[in-house]
Amino acid sequence: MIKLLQVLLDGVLVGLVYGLIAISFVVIYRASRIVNLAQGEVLVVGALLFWTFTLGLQAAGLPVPLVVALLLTGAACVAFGLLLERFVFRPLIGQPAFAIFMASIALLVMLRGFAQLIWTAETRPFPQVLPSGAIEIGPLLMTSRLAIGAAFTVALTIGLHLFFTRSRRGLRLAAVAEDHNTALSLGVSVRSAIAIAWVLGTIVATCGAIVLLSGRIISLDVATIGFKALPVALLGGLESIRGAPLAGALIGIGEALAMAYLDPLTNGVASNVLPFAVMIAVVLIRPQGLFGWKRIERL
Amino acid sequence: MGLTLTNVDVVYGGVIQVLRSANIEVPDGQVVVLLGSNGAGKTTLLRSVSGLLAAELGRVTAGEIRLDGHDLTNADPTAVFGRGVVQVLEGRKVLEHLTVEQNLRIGAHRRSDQKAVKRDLDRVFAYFPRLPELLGRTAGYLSGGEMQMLLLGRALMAQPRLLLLDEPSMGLAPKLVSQLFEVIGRINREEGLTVLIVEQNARAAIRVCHYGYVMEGGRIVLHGSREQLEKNQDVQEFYLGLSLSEERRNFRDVKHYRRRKRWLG
Repeated sequence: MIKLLQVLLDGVLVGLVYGLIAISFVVIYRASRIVNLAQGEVLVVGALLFWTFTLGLQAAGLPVPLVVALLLTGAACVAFGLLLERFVFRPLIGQPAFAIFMASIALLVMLRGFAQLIWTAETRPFPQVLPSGAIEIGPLLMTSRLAIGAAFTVALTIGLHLFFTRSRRGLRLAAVAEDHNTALSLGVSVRSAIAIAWVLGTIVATCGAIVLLSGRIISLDVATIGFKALPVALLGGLESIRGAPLAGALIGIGEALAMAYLDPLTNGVASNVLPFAVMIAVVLIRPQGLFGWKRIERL
Repeated sequence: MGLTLTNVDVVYGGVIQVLRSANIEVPDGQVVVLLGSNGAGKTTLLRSVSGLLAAELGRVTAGEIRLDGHDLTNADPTAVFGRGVVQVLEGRKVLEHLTVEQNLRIGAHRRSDQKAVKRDLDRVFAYFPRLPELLGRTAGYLSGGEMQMLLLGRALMAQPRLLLLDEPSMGLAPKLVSQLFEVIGRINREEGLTVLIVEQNARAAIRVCHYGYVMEGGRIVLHGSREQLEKNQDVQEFYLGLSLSEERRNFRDVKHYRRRKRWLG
């Protein structure tokens, strides 16, 4: 019984981190209708930037305080997000989904190459930002790194939801998410909305990287987390901020259960396959996901 | 002052000319209607004013568009909106997954004076008494008439200086159409709002207008005051569906054909 509870708790916590990365997909998709398959690579680049401003500068003899490093990383993410938007995806707005799909695969390979070129392929330790160790709740253990990450995901979700539904700036982005032409007719600048979305998406992905990697090892392979977050974004609904953490928790629980009870029988395959089985099921049964926008058909 | 279009040509994609030397004047405080059949270039003319042409690869290649003396030729849509020109697109483009309230608030997204926004909201509710009951509803599930009210309300929330309406009557029941135009007329009379309406439903639109233009094949072929349009034989016959006499007319009537041909010239 305790084991089951522990499995569920772990699943929820890990799932919420997936949810955090799924939010970065959702924010970008809402504004630009683009599913960026290279989001995992974007996350790795964000993580490597953070490494550069912390341990990298330290190794070069110029250590800066953590706050400054975070600010520098934030600024670099803004520049990186704008770069991606301006030179890769803006020219593709309105193009068929297939063209965007191919471009994001090309971007995936290119980012991997550039990252290898700039930072080399070696694995390196990631700075310890969040406390290590675990919090004990009765007989259960909660990794404090993941617990903080989960709390951050929930707070970010509530914050973004309020932002998109209440504030004037957020409503502008919501209008762009609905329809570019209508948004233009209401005097909303679609271009700047999309740029904001890419910046936001890059920053959120980097936050995900920090939660995920704090005190652990970073290598280019970490990018596969992007593919894990994709089923989460689909299940939650590509337009829905709220859906992302919920779907993340569901998939996290499923994965943890599979890991605990099915993996010993299947050589560890079950937990890896499960999220993608869910993805296919979502596409077949409910393409708009749990909370995504169903196209309103008027008969 | 108002809006003036002088010899405006519009070309799509660098090759397809849709507007040919259009001249239109919309004086302050008036309702001007633009009639014409499908493909006459009415929507293109509206888009050339609101700056939405660029989104469809169109450009004003000659002539100029001025509002109160400011040049709006090929201006950015956000800049045109900033001058108080608000276009209500055809096809009832509500933001369908947002609530009615959010739709109304987005009309006022550029305004920071929340008190004035609240006042305008009450004003919109006075014109459309159904809207307050619908505030929490998802806009995409409203009926056609309710959507049109919401769209007009949303446009009013932007404090327009000039309202551009693209076929507001499309797909509405005749009773709703006359109610809608009645409200448009009231807003014009009570607030002095300048309105340019593109319509196929000539009968309803002519009734509220001060002045009207008729377009065919990208050209203005006829214009005049309401009284002149109502009296004009061609308008009566082609747009109002009235014939001159009670007796039956022959479809092959040469005169009809010639008159029509003269227009298309």
